[in-house]
Amino acid sequence: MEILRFAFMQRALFIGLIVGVLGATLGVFVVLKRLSFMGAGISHAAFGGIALGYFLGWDPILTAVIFCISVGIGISMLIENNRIKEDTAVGIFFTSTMALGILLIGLKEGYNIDLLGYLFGNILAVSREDLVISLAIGVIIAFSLYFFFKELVLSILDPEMARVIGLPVSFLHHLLVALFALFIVISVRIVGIILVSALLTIPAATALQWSKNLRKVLVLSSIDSLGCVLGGLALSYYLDTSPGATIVILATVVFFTTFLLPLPLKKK
Amino acid sequence: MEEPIIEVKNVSFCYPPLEVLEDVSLTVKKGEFLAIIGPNGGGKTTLLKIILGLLKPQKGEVYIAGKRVEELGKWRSKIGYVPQTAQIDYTFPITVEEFVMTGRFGLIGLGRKPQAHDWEMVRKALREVKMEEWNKKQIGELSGGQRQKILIARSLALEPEILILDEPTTAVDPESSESFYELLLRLHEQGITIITVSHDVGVVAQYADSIACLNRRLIKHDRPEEVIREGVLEEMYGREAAFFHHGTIPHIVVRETPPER
Ligand SMILES: Nc1ncnc2c1ncn2[C@@H]1O[C@H](COP(=O)(O)OP(=O)(O)OP(=O)(O)O)[C@@H](O)[C@H]1O
Ligand SMILES: [Mg+2]
Repeated sequence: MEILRFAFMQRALFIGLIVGVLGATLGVFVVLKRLSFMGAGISHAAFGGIALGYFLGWDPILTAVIFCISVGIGISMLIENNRIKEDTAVGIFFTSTMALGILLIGLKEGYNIDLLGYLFGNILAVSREDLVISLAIGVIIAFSLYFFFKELVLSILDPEMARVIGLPVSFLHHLLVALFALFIVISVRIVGIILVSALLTIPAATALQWSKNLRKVLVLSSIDSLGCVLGGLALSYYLDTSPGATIVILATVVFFTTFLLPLPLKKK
Repeated sequence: MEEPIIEVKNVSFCYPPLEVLEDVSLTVKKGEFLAIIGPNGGGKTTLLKIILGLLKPQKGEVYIAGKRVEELGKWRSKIGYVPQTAQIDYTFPITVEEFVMTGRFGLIGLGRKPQAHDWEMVRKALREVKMEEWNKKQIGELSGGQRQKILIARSLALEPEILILDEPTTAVDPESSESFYELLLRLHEQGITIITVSHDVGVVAQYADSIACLNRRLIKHDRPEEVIREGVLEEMYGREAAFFHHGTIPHIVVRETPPER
């Protein structure tokens, strides 16, 4: 495999492995909790966070994570007690944080080219350090999902009953948003913040068409996602296309193929 | 049967500007079987949610087993609840038996998986509502009455000390409904505290130790018979209340009366 000769590609594939499996698993919760749009909003907010980091001279990624979690909490606060509808709240934060990003970049002298890398991914930039960070964050996400699995399931399935038996429902909600924000960190090099939410939506949505058993859905989603991330990376190398975009298009093709298949083939 | 297990003290609740509960006090003893009746909009569901700590009253306190309901902690996992309208996502990829298992999640604890004993309790609960053959179905594939039955099973699966039921037999066929009340009676004999909301006064009067009438204010009758006899119902539901008797079970039809302000 000629593709494996390059160290950057080896590193990208390794991160792709983590991104594929964790995105698929986290994505099943995101889709079931109907957070896809919220997820898209939060990942776009990462742009504002990165710009803010640049502006203040802080670590852009770290700033973005904290920024995204704050945006998630901000959205939750707006929609509390049904005062504002969720899609409206997401719509407001989605655009205002991107506007903030554009504003801050304009204020900072000299346009920084790295920004494009954050927006659309840049696998050439995957460093050894990224590898370690991705692994660490991957462990945090995997452990959280494993540890709170039952609780997340019930808080999504029946939030009222979750409160009756004493589960910390709003903590679990914020946990999911925080994991989402952390996921942006590990996938930003591969797909970029514009397309991150696709990894959390499309494989899960595909798998949910194949099975009504949660465990099978998780497995299928992971297989699909892994195939699309690794396959997309390889394809992009040979076709000389954008890795992020190739991965997302590949996942979309699988989704629509599944969608168009006759029902009896998919059931169970 | 002596010590109080649920104490509602001077609770008032309003959805501004509507006053739903006005200075409601209620004591339920350990092992008591209490039925709450009252017209639509009388505040029954609201009262149950306050007892469960899902709604916070503007005035008053609720104590369960001597603790304020906000500070119940682990004790919560001993309370079974069947809501009137469950906010359940029926498209969720989960089977009937896994759904019933969610009732035990509070008992099982963080980071742990259900054990053989947990599954045994789930199967037992499903048998009680005669749904054991449906255990592998996805919850969205059930009929309305079957959905109600698995909600009941979920509340039983956790081996409750307190059962709080909000019109548990609506949508359930008469035969299943009767066997459900027989089941409640057996649980009652085992010493479980039961609060149930029902519109079927005649049925409930046969089983309950006491009946509380709730229409903004609450009046508790420790002898169920007196509720049916002494014009209590007419007073609560208004004069338009009409009674129909077929067989031995009186049914009540209530016409809408605008809430008092
Ligand atoms: N979320 C809400 N917002 C505003 N008002 C509400 C809300 N929920 C209930 N109410 C009002 O509170 C009153 C009591 O409602 P509740 O559900 O407790 O009645 P109920 O006795 O359970 O009636 P039913 O027999 O129809 O179930 C009703 O007048 C209702 O309109
Ligand atoms: Mg009600």
